[in-house]
Amino acid sequence: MVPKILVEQPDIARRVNAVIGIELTGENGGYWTLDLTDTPVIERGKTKEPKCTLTAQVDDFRDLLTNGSVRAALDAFKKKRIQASGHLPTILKLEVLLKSLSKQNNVVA
Amino acid sequence: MKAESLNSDLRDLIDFQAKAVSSHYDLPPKFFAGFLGPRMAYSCGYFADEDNTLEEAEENKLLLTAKKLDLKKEDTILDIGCGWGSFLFYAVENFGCQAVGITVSKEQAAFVNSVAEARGLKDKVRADVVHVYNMDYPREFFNKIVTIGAIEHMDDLHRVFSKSAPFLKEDGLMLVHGMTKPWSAREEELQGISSEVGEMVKEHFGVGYWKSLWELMEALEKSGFEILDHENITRHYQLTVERWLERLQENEAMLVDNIVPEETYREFLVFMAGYIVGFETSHTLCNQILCRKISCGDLRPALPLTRENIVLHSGKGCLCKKD
Repeated sequence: MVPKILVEQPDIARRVNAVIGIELTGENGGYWTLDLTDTPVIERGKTKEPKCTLTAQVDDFRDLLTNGSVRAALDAFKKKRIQASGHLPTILKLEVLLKSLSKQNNVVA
Repeated sequence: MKAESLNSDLRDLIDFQAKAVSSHYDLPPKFFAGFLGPRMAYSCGYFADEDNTLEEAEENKLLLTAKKLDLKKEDTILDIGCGWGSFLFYAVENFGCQAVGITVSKEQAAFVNSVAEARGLKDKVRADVVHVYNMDYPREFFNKIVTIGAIEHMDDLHRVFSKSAPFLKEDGLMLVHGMTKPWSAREEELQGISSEVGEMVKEHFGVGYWKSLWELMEALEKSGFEILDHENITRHYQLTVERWLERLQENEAMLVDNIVPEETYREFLVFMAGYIVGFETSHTLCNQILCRKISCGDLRPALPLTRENIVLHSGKGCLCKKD
């Protein structure tokens, strides 16, 4: 499953150019691997070694996607509601993706 | 009446900027020591090789800056925004210069002056707590001026350089080292289009004004400076901040709660990571501009024909050992 925005605008993924792990805890949580090195691929489970991993509660992550605010993301990170491990700058490259997702209906293709 | 009003506005601006900038730099020096190199240089290092350490890059940058300014024992230097005095001490200890630094941060000035005392250099180096707009030194008192990583906090570069010029001797050299942003982003800002990230960066640093390169050069030329050389050192800043971030992460246990609250620590993590991306994507640029004070039409000392004396060549380790 790949968000529509990544299918329509693969350049967004190419700007990130990394494998990212997303680990969500709580109800409907789980681990996803985002491979944004070429044609965007999102797979459930740790299918590749990530350059960095973002960890959050499902609700906090949903808030992040919904409002797309970098300030809100910073506040969440400062308060440890979002955790990141590995290469931190790569996580920040997701900013453009998060903003795009928040503006569009998050439909998977 | 109008003049009084303007002066009052300027006083308010100076007070605001001094407080805002201090909110960042008045954090305990031990916190900054937790990620900066041993010189406590809170600005871009210079990498003669990708594998240079932070310590080597700091030394290389200081050497390069000294070369560009053609430092000599008889020089009297003004360092605008001197930080914790890395360049002041380098110039005094390696070249025997006299040096004065200014900063709006009381913590930084106290640090510089205490180090000067501890090293027996009180008669050679000092830091004054003064805003750049309030500088007051004898006319042509200095023959070298340097400002490293400070113009980002200055709203009006025309005022800064016009204020600085009278303190510099005729033909005196000035090196301006600072960040700029590409014109496309700057133009949006001038049109009132602000970005959320841009506002957050300003808040993090207390106050910030990132101009474009041509605005910086225009301010220098209009203030009576001839631009001698420009070097884009953005890649060097990216490598520098990558090493700061590594050190910050390595020292987390020592810094968090002992020296700064965890939220402050984590804010620095994010901004460092953000700067790395900013440099990598040319959203933020870093430059060194060398210039000299001139009176147009007068006969000037001849300039060197090549850049040989103001460059560092590639090489492992600290290049200062080779000179």
